[in-house]
Amino acid sequence: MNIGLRKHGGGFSGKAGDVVYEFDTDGLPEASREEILALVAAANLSSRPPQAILTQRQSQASLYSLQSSGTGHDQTLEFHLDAVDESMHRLVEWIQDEIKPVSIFEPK
Amino acid sequence: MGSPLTCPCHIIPSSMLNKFAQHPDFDAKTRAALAQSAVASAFARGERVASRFMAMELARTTPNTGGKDRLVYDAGGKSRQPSKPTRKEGDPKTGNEAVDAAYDSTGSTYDYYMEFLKRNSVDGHGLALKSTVHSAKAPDNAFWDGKQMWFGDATPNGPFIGSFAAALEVVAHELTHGVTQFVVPGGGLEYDEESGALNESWSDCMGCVVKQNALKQDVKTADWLIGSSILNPKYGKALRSMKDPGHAWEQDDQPAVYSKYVQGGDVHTNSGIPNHAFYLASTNLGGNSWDKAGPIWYKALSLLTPRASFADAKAATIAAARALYGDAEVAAVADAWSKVGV
Repeated sequence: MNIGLRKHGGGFSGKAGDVVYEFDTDGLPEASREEILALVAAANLSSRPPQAILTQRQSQASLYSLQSSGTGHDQTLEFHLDAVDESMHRLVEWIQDEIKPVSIFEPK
Repeated sequence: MGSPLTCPCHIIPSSMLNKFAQHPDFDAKTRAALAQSAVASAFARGERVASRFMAMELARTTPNTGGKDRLVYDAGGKSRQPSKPTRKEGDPKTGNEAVDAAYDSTGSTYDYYMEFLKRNSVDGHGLALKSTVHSAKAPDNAFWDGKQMWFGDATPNGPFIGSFAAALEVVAHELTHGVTQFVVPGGGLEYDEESGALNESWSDCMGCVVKQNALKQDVKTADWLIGSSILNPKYGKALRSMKDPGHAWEQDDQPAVYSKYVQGGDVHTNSGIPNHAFYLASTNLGGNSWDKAGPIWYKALSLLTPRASFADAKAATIAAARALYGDAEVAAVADAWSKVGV
């Protein structure tokens, strides 16, 4: 399963602070793979609406895009963390803690 | 009545805890503990907007600590804040560069607000200043979450270098988001369109003032740059320029005038307009930005509303200049906003 998480804007940096996390669960050590797949299952991604966006945004809130593919059900979810439940928080937190982020900016 | 509801678990709804926190049968200490639990519960349940207001209520009802109270945590590259701070008020240097930088910079920002604006911390009542450094929640970034500051580290080969806690104007910027939350009646400035750009701008303005005050730079000698020490020089000189919006780094898209306002644009983009107005007002006023421009902008915050427009900000800063000073200062501020097309 391929997973990509992009954190858009927010914070001090705005779009200059956009980062992406991309990984293939097959490339992870077994324990990590089991952990992330359990978190993905708990988050029940396929049942979620494509967007969970706050209408009244908290100061400095970032917008997240989560892409998953390779399981026969490719999808992209866009959300603010404040608009999703604890299972999504745990999934995002695991990715942030375990996968090295990459800046989207390349010097010209 | 005893104190049965102070457990850190979040089974009890925050609304109920909040009602108990205001119950006259509990003593002040218990009510404060209940209010704290209500905020924690609201956060755990994702009730962020509600918890923002509850945090303000907690601050309003919590006794003044009487002074600076800094707590700096080191997340060690993870998302969660550890239970114990690495450095708290009065502790000696730790040798952990980001921890010590956050401690010193929150101290400088607290001192500025207290000495020049007579404001005791973010909430005006000595709220503890909590910072978490090396946070995985904020790679290439820093943010205020409604209760505290989070500082991340630069990603390898990205546009930034080092820890975001190392730059004084970044720390002052984040802390000012907290001030905005408490000072603007109604819980702060909504984070989109013009009110969101004003929210970002006020943090940049006060970040600049705090930095210039620390460096003892007047309006002529200051560089008016935001984030100059954390941007890799191969990308540009800083993340934003108050003096010359749109030209700080290679992908800087900030407009300097209202005719170039980007509809639906990022709040960090459109903040270039009020940022430039602050620069022009400061140079019109002369001397040091912390002498008059800082106090005018700070006082104006209390005259704004959550959906304030740039025109409202112009009116508020003019009213603040009139309340604090006189005709010359009013003219200096009005001229600045006119020059950016507001």
